[in-house]
Amino acid sequence: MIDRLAELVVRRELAPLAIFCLEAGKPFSRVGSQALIFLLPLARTVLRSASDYEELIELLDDREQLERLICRIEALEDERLTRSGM
Amino acid sequence: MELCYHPAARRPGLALLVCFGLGLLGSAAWQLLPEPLVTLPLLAFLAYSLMPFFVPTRYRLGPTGLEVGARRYAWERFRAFVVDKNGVFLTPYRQSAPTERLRGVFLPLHREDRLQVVEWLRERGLEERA
Repeated sequence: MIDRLAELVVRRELAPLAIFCLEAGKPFSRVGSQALIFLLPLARTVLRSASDYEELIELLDDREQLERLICRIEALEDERLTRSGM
Repeated sequence: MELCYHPAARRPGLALLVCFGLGLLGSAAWQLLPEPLVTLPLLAFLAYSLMPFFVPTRYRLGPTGLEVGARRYAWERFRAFVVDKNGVFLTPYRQSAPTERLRGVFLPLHREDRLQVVEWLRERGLEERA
């Protein structure tokens, strides 16, 4: 999940925005995960498979995982910047 | 490696001058607004902003991570460092990036500690950036 999300963000060149939002939202991540749990029955109805959605809930619930996601985005962004020689 | 950054102990004359300035500002505030509910929080705020100068900051550079006071950072987070006259800035990027000020860590260091830390960071494989 972490790798897939990080790759998606970096491929779309959204790393600075994503890092800023994740870092700023860290103190509220648990509230976010609780809100997603509240919406889980709806997600199960609308989505064909809610496994990604459940993984996202787990990711938001754990600050260490969130930090790991930011670090992964940074690693991929660093590679991209080094490759492009910016 | 354990380090301590304490500018007030290194420059006691300047520390004394800062204390004098703080006292002067406090008395000026008291003259202008003789209200303890305004003057005391103002002085407390000023004193708090000068904490890094008066209170020693301790760093611990270990094999798995860096500890700054109670905060801990894994080495995997950093890929490069920038040296300036006041210390070392650890950054997650080998090239300049917009979020590096947000995610990087600046370590204010005394000159001799700085050289030691730079050597240590080079040994860890972090890239030195201009």
